[in-house]
Amino acid sequence: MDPTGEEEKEVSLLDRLKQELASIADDNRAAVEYFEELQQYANNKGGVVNKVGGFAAGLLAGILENNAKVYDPASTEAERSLAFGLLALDVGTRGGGAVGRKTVLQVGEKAGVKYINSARVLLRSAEESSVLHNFPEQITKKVLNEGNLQIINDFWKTSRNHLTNTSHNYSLRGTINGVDGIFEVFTRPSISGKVELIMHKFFRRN
Amino acid sequence: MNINAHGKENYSYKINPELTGLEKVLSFDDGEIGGRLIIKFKNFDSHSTWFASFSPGKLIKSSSVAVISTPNPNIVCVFYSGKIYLINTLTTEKLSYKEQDVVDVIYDDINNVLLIFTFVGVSCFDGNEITWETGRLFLDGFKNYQILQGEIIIEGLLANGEERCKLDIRSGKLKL
Repeated sequence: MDPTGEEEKEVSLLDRLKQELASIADDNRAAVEYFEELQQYANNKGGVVNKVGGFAAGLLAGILENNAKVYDPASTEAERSLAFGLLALDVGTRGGGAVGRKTVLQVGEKAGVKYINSARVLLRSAEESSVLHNFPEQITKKVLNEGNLQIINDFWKTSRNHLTNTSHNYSLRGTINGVDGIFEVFTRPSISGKVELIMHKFFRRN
Repeated sequence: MNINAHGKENYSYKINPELTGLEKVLSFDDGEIGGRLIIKFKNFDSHSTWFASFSPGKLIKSSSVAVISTPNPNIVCVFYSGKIYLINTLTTEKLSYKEQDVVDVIYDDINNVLLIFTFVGVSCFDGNEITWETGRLFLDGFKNYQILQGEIIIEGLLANGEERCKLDIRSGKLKL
């Protein structure tokens, strides 16, 4: 029990985000699972809820800046406050921060299929600050819309509820900072086919 | 990152030494833009002291710097912002090997190899040449690795969908 009440307060923020997510996602099951994965990561951080709250806030704040730079729990107090502020704005305004929220969750939509960032992708962009893992979401959309698609059945070895084991590998040639390479976006489709969870985003140089 | 790991070196070094402006600095920059790293080397065999300038990697912008021993006592591995340089401190020559997007380098003195981990694969330097390269092994990086009894055990999402693999440290071949 945290005598300061901070823990309950921040857990409540996560719960509220989860509720918000469920309310806006058309495919509730996959989306909620996505967030539970994120929350599981939070729990695995050893109960450092303050950091977890900061992490979630950073996801929103970073993607609002459109560079997918995720808040580092080791950041300064001022940075943490800013991230929390953005989180509070998004949750508290119930729509005021919808653009940011939608960007976090739903990268794009094509032919009735929604593309949602997985916890893995968000965590990788948090762990690796390089542009290789953090190219703008506009590029992700372009890869999904115009890239080559390779479908690999039984790619994923661990079964997950509501998700297939198939990988949809989208790739598109491009350039970052004068370096030629391939933008890769790999997704894991839901069983319903309405959602593809983005599991891998990476710029691989030639 | 195995920073400043030491083996049996025939050289000493100093990162960002004081310069008078009169020193001749060998450039290993490849004409790339970015903050230069200057290192002063002294080779014990030739008794020569010389300066070298390095540029950071293009796509990984960090200030991480490491000077790492290799199996060859005259060859040093300089890691700078995701880019590595293998330099012969006796001849002041750079080996032609150019690896980018490096995330970890370790000198394994038990097996006497330098292992270079990028976001997508692993390669091995034996002191004279790159003896093996895995090619695309990971999707976009690895979680962690350990070296046990001649094997490199790596965890992370692999390009084939598996989440763990073993490599033979001598050949680089996957072991099931």
